[in-house]
Order: sequence, then structure tokens, then C-alpha cells
Amino acid sequence: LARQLSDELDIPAEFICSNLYELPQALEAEFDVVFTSYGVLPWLPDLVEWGKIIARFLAPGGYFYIAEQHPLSSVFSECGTELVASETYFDVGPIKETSDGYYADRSAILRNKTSYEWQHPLSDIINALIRAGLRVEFLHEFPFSLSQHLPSMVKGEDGWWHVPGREDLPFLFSLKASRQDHPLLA
Amino acid sequence: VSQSTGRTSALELLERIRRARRDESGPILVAVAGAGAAGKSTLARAIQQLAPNEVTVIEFDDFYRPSFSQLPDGELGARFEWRRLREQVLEPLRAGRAGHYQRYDWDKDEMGAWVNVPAHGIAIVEGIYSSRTELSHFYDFVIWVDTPADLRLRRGIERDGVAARERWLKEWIPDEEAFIAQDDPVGRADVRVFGLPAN
Repeated sequence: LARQLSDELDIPAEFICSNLYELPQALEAEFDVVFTSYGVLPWLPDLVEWGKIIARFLAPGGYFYIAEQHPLSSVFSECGTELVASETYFDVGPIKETSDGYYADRSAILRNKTSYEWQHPLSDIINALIRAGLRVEFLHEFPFSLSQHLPSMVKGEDGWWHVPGREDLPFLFSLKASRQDHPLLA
Repeated sequence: VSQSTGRTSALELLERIRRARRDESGPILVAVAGAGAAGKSTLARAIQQLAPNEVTVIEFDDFYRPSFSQLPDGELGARFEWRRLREQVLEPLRAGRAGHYQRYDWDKDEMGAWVNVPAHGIAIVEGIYSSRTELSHFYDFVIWVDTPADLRLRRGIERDGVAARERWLKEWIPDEEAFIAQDDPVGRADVRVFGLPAN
């Protein structure tokens, strides 16, 4: 799909399929922007290693950017019309999930129905970047979601999913960070 | 360059540093340079002990590049992030503002705690690359610590352990020798002193 899009738009790109933690062995390069997209963090067991890999691939003067589901949003589930804090906010190790269907296709029948996810609180995310020597430039929190995260969410005219009447909880965050050492600016 | 007798006392150096003040505002900036395990840190701490409220010591070892960060190609002393020292410490201090830098954590091989440097008194930056050409204009006073190579290697291994011997021989000493030959930090010193014994 990505390659098709690249061809259609005539934007040359190279796609590498690799376990994130093995990327330093698979790729030798530096980038002006490193981006972690929505839905990546829950699949990662070790954020400290994630931070180091970002720093490893960031070019001098480059930026890191992430837009992701807010860790607080995983805490809530719906009980009738009420939101209840039913899940852990903190990292308790791998969380086993068993389900048919998949977020890309809820009706898909999966051969492997078990998956593991990790809950990373905001502090773990930010500290991983600090331990990698990155400087946080901003952190934003948003009271809406990219997808229908809770059953009561409705898609607004802005294209985002909202829980009606609950603009007091964060569902997304974004963060920008930069590398401290700038060899090209010598 | 004033060639000193070598056996300059810490007190004498402190007095010379105080006389070297260039700006009315901000701290006096001092580099204590010299090859690995020459006794730079010992000398810097000896000066600091004479005026603990006046002197801050910044170690270039805190600016070592973590292994997950790539080395710039072919640069002298590339294992240390001298630009970060400039941006986080030297530039703010020279502008009369406090410095603020993140220390490299040698045990964990990752970035560690943040440290403040007050914008007054005397700030001593201690490390072989502290007075390198790109940074030399920041300083009011530069000291070079001279110690014979065999003594330095012995001290270095005593301090860092036998396990570090390979790194001394294969990485750090060759880096330092190339740097000293090409950058001439010795010729740039205001004063040369003999390294003090560690105790």
C-alpha cells in the first residue's frame, strides 16, 4: 500500500520492514525528522531503547515528533453512560489481549487471536527521550481521539472523535523534541 | 604563552585566574586541559577546595557521546560532544546567564541528570578537549597539565579498572595523540603545570 502511494504521488521513498529494536543493524542513515505515529507505543516493551534509537537516527539539528493516543485515555471504559477508570495508568508489564477482529478491519478473522500490549504512562515516554539526550520542545494534549476509542464517541465536523460533553479528558497528545548536539552548525 | 616553572601551586593558579577576568559580568571561564589521567580533575578540585563557594567545576567527561549516538565523520575528539558544551554551558555563561547541562551516565550509557552552573564566580571546564580551537575564545585562562605518558596510562587503569585498558589503548590515547598533534592545545595554554599525584 505504501509503495503504491509512493508511486502514485511520484515521491520516491524507501520502505524498510524491520523489528524496531533491530533497526540499527538494518539501516545506516540519519534523518532530519523521526516520527512515531499513532498506535506505535502500545506495541513496544522497552521505551528507553526506543528513545536511544530515535537519537541514533536523528541527524544533527533534526527533530523528533510523535502524535499518539494519550496514556490516560486507556484508563477509561464505559459503563452505561458513565466513564469509569477501570484500567491501570502505569506500566504493569505485558497486557494480554484476546480478540477477533483488528483495528484496521474489525470483521477480520485472525489466525492468532492473542496479542500483547504495554501501557506506558506519560512520564515513561518523556523520561525515555530525556535519557536519550533529547530536549522536549513542546507537549500538547487534546480532548479528542483519532478513532472511535470509546463506544459513545461521535465524529465531529472537525474530523476528530469526541465523547459528547467530555472535553475535560485528554485522548491524544503530541510532542516535539530535538537533538542537543549539532555537528552541522559548527 | 607564559612558561611557568611547572610546580605552580593551586593557590597561585587561583590568584592568576582571578586576575584574568575579562568581563565585569558573568563568571571567569577557565579550561584545565591535558591528556587523559594527567591529573586535570585533581588540579581543578584542588583549586575549587580553596574557594568552594566561588569555583564550579564542569567535567568534559559529562559530554561523552553515548554509544547510541553516531560519531561525526573524521572529527578530532569526536567521542565528546563539544558543541553541547558550547550551547549548554559556555555560550550562556559568556552572556552572563546560568549554564544548564545534561550529564552523560557512564554506567548506564545514556543521558542522566541535569546540572546548573551559576553565572558568577569561576567556572572551570576540565578535559583534554576543553580548550580545543572551536572553544578556546570563550576562556579567560587556559591551563595545560603535563604528565608523562607511562604514568598517565598507569593512573588511568588504576582509576577506570583493567577492563578499560583496551579502550585507553585503542580509542582514547590514539584520539588524544591525534588531537594534540593537529590542534596544538599545548601551545594555546596560558600556563603549563605538572600533574599532581592523585592524593
